[in-house]
Amino acid sequence: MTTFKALFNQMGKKKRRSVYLLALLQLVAASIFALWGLFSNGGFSNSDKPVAWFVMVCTFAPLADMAYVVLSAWQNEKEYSSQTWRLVPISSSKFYLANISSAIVNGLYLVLIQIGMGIVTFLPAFLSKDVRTNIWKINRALAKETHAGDFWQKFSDSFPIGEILSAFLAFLLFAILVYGIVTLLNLSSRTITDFLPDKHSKLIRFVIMIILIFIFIVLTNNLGSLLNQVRWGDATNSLMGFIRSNIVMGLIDIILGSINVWLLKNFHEGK
Amino acid sequence: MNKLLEVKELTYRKNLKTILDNVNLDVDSGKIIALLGENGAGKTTLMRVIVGIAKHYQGDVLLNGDGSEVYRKANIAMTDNLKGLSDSTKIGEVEEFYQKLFSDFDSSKFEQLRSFMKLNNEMKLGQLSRGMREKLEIAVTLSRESKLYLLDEPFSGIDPMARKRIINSILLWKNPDSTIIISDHFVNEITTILDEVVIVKDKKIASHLSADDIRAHGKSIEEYYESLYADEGAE
Repeated sequence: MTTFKALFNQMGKKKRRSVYLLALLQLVAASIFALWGLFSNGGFSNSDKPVAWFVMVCTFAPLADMAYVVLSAWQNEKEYSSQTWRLVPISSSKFYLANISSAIVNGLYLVLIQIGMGIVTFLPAFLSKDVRTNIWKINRALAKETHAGDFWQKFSDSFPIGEILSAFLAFLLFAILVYGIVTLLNLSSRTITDFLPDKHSKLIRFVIMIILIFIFIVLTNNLGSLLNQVRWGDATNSLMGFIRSNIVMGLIDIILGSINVWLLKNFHEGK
Repeated sequence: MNKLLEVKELTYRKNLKTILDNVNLDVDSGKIIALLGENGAGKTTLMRVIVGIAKHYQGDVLLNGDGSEVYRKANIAMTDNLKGLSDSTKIGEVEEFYQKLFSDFDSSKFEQLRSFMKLNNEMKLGQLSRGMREKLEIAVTLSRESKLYLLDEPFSGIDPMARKRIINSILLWKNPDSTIIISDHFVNEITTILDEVVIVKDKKIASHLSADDIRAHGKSIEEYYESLYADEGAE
C-alpha cells in the first residue's frame, strides 16, 4: 500500500511547479510595472520611488494567489479523473485528503515566497534617507515601549494571539471549502452524467453543473439564515465570531469531504 | 495451480448501456493469457474493473480471495497511458513517480527494461512517439513485482520488429508465479507465449480455453478466434 506521505509528496511536487511559475510571473510583472512607474511621467512620486518595486510586488500578490487557487483546483480535479493517479493503492479518503492538503500547503508555500520577495524588494528602500529615518524612529519608539515594560501588553492588545490563530484556521477551512465545492461539482456532475445516455454528454454535464450550483446557492442561503437564528454567546466578541464561523465552516468541510470521498470510492472513475 | 483471480457474475453498465453482462472468469497463477475480442467488446472495461478503476459494478472480483479495491491495486500492475503526468515529465521522473508510489516497483528491473526498450532517462513524455510511449508503459508495468499484470493493447503502436523482440522477452521479465493477461489484436504474434485464451463476445466470456486444447483441435489460436466471429456471420 502507498503511504499518505508518499502520495502527498508526489501530489505536492506537481503543484509546486505552479507555485514557482506564479512566483516568477509575479516578480517579472511587478518588476516591469515598477520600472514603467519609475520612468514614466505619471508614475511614482519621488518619495514613493524607493518602495516602487515593493509596492508592485504587493499589488500583484493577490492576483498570483487567486491564480494559484484556480490552477491548483484544476490540478486537483485532473488527479481525481486520472487513471495514472487513481491506480495508486491508497484509500479514497487518504487520496482526497492528500490532494487537498498538498494544494493548501503549496498555497502557504507561495505566500512564504511572496513574503520573501516582499523583503527583498523592500531592500532598495533603505537607500532612501527618509525611509531610514522613519525606520529608525519606529525602532526608537519600540525600544521605548519595551523599556517601559508594557510593549508586549500593547502588542497582544493590538494583535491578540487567539484571534490571529482563529483567523488562520478560518483561512485554512475556507481553502478546504473552496476545493471541496469545486470537487463536489466536478464529481457529482460526472457521476450523474455516467447514468445518462452518452449522447450530448458535455451539454448535459453543463446543465447539471448549473442546476447543482443553483441548488448549492439556495442551500447556503437557507443554512446562513438558519445559523443566524441560533444564539452563539456574546455577539460583540470577535473571537467568539471567529470560533462560530470556524465551527460552521468545519462542519460544512466535513460534510462536503464525506460526500466527495463517497463519490470517489463508489462512482468516479479515472480515465 | 493456485486460483489467483475470480470474477463472479460481473455486470457493468455505463450511460444506460450494458458493457459486461454476467461475466465469470477464473484465472490461475503463473499463466500468460490472451484476452481477445473485437473493438468495444469490453476487454478494457473488464481490465479496469479487475484492477479497481471502474466502479459501480455488480458481482465480485477477488484477487487471492480478497475483494478490496486497495489490495487489488497494490497487487495488480496495469498498463497506463501516463496521461496523469505532464508532457514535460522526464522518463527519470516517471521512474521516480512509480518508485515512490508503488512499494513493489523495482528500479533495477526498470533500468534493465528501459535500456532494453532503448529509452533515455532524459527524454520527456511529450517527445515520445506512440511506440516509444507504449514501450515505456510496458517497462513501468513490468517493473512492478505484481501477482497479476494487465497489458491493455500494449503493442499497437510499436513497430513489428520491436514488437516481436518485446513479446519474446516477456517470459524473461515475468516472475514464474505471476500471471499476465494481454489484450491485443495481434493474435498471431503472441500465440507462441500463450497458455490460455479468453474471448470476450456479446458482453460475455464466450470462450476460455487453454492454448494447447485449441491446438489439439488442429486449429491455430487465430483461426479459432476468427471462427467464433465467423459463426456469427453465418447466422
